This record gives sequence, C-alpha cells and structure tokens, in this order.
Amino acid sequence: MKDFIKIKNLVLVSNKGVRNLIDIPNLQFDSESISVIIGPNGAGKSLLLNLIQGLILPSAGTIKIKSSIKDNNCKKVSIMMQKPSFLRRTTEQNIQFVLDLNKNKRKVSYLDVLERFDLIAQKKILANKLSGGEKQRLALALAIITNSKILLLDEPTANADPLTTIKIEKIIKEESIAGKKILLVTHNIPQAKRLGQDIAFIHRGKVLEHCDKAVFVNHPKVKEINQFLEGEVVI
Amino acid sequence: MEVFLEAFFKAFSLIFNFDVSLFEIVGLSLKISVISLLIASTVGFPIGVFLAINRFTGRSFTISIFNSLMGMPPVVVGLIVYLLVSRSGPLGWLEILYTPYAMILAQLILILPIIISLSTQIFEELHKEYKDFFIIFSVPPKTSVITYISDSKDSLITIFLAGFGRAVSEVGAVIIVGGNIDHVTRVMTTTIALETSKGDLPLALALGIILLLMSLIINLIANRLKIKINKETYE
Repeated sequence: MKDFIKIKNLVLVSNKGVRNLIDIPNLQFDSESISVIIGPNGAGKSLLLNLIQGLILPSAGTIKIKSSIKDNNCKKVSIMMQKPSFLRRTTEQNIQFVLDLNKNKRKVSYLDVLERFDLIAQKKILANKLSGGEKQRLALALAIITNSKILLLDEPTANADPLTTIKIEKIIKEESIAGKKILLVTHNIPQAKRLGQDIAFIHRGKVLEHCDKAVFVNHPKVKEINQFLEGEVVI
Repeated sequence: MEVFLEAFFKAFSLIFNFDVSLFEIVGLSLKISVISLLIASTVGFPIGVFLAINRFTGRSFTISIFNSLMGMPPVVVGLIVYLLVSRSGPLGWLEILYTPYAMILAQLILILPIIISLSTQIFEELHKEYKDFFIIFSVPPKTSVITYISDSKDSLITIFLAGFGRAVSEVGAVIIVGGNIDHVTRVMTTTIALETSKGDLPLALALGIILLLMSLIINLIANRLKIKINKETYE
C-alpha cells in the first residue's frame, strides 16, 4: 500500500519555543517494507517515532495511517522504546499482562513468546532486573504480541551482543514477512543495509533524504550522508 | 504503686480468663475499625490513583485539602457526624445515631483522607514508571487502577496500618456518635476513658494492654507481609 504512513508539515517546537526539534514538510512510508531511519545523535529520530506512536503531540502538522476494514480489530501502532519500561513484575507476568490485553486478537501462549524470544531462563526474573539485551528482547516481544500493523523499533539492538543481534534481526524480518510495517531507528549502518528496503536520513529534525537503500548507499545526494556513512562527525 | 500492681494483676486475670464483657468490647472495636478501614481503602485507593495520574484544574488544591484533613480533630468529626445523623440532621432518616453504623461513618471520615493522601504520593511515583507502558499498550482505565494498586501493595500495607491505627485508637468521635452504650456501642477506647474516670482501673488497664498488643501483633504481621512482598517483587 502506497503512502501507508503519511506525514505532512510536521513540526515539534522545543519547550522554550526557540527551535524546531522536528520539521518535516512531507514524508511517506509504504506498507510492506522495513524502513530505516538513521541519523546522528539528537537528530530527532526517537522523537519522530514517539510522534507516530502518539506518546507526544506535534506542535503542528498531521500523521495519517491508512487502514483497511480487516485491520479494524488491530491496534495500529506499537513501539519498542530505546529505554523500555516494564511493570514491576517478572518477565512472564509482563508478557501475560500484555497478552491478556490483546487476548481476542492473537491466540498465543506466553510460553511460545518466551521460547521465540529466548527468555525461558529469565521467565521468573523481574523485568527491571534483566540485562540490557534481555530487556530489549522482552520489549520487542511485548511490542510484537500486541499484533499491531506498524512496529516502531527504536535501536532494538543497541545493547545486544552479536548473537542476540542476529536473533532480533531474524524476528524483525519474520514480522515484516508476516505483513507488518517496520520503522527501524538505528545507528548501526551495516544493520540498516542488512534490514532496510528504504532509508530516511534525519539531521537536526529535518529529513535530508528518503530513498531506496541502493540509492542511499551508492548515490547519496547530500554531503551529511556521505560523512555519516564514512563514520565522520556530522555537524 | 500497690494500687497499680493490683490493677495490673486483675487486668491479666480478665484477659486470661477470657472475660466475656472484655472480649465483647474488643470484638466490637475490631469490627468497627476493620469495616471502616475496608470501606476507606475501597474508596480511597482508586481516588488516590485518579489524583496521581490525572492532571486537571484544582488538582493541587484537592490534594492540599486531603492533606489538611489528615490532621482533622476527631471531636470535630464526631460533631459533624452527630449533626448529620441526629434526628433533625439531613441523614436523620437513617436512624443510626448511637449505633455502630454512626461510629463506622465517623471513623471512615477520619481515615479516608489518610488513605487518599498517602496513596496519592505512592501512585505518583509508580505513575512515572508506568505512564509510557500504559499508553503504549493502551491499558484500559479499569485495568490501570487495578495494576497501580496491585503493584504497590507493599507500600499500601503501611498506609493500611496508619489507617487502622487511627481508627482503633480514636475516642473523641466515636464517643459523640456512639454514646458509649454498654453492649451496643462500647469500644475499647471509650471504655478506657469511662472506667478510668470511674476509678475501675483493672478493666481499663486490661483493655489498654490488649490495645497495645493488638497494635504490636498487627504491625508484626504487616512487616512480615511487607518483607514477603518485597522478596517477591525486588529480588
């Protein structure tokens, strides 16, 4: 589906009103792909995801998500945050809580979820006591079991070791194949190349480029992307 | 000193011989305090959650009012309830003056601000942790309230204890609305006041000892419970 997520004249002004944290006149994402959002620190990538999720409200502009009749029973957007928050409960209780909220949408048991996300050994451990990588797997599991049409993933492998990264990337691909739209924020350029079908580059709240992966990697139009791809500091 | 020792021995003899009138008074005290505490908790905890998670005009004022009401003099509460339930009062048709029901009402008014004020502070802390989680997973309001209460039960036990302490040790309000009628509205504190003024120290002392023991036992049980919950939640 073309223009599945349509962002128009989106502006988010800082609290003091002195600068635009986000300023995106036009940005669109198709429904069946993994779209990657990259950019330097403080560029506004996480803010953009939070705006799409509705965790923060824009100062101006609109974000529209197309839906079909068969999607009526589905939650539209689900997010895995960079610093996820959990209930003060065990891993399995957190999963069970979210499954109970979505029980009429998806018939899976918490044991299946624990197994798929390699969290069996951690099921009785309090979610807040998990290691960084385990927390990310749990956060990803919770985002996926809500059965949303769009998955917003904010640096899902930031604290993960190579093996966990492979597992998480495999799950992301499976979810994309299953028909979910994935918006992935990452700093990891090789990961962006491995997973992304289209890439958007954000710098200082503006989208400098959004195009097909091959074009993005081989023929970037702006010098900031070249700098970023070559590991230079983007100012 | 001799009088004191004699009273002390008589008091223990009343306790160990399971004196019927003594334990009738203890039973009624417990019944009234526990019922008012249960009603105050059922009403107060959800109000605490509401005040903690919602932002509305007059919120700070409402919280300040409940904070001030925590220190309300019991005799004033007794007087207000008396005026409300006396034959010419707006609730006179209930015909509950000088019955345990009026005593429960008076204690409820005394405990409710404690439950609301202290629980609001606890739920505010938890809300900082849970806010994003509840938005992301679209947790319905009813489930949110239940989760806030259930996930802070270790702290709520302390509030429960504070409420119980206030209820069971209170004398000013219950003597005004209960009338200290033998076998009907006579509770531990009102009996201690009456018997002391009559010079019958053994019964007053026996009740005083039971009141202290009760407070000690309840505190011990609550502490054990708190340790158990803490172990389950944080280890």
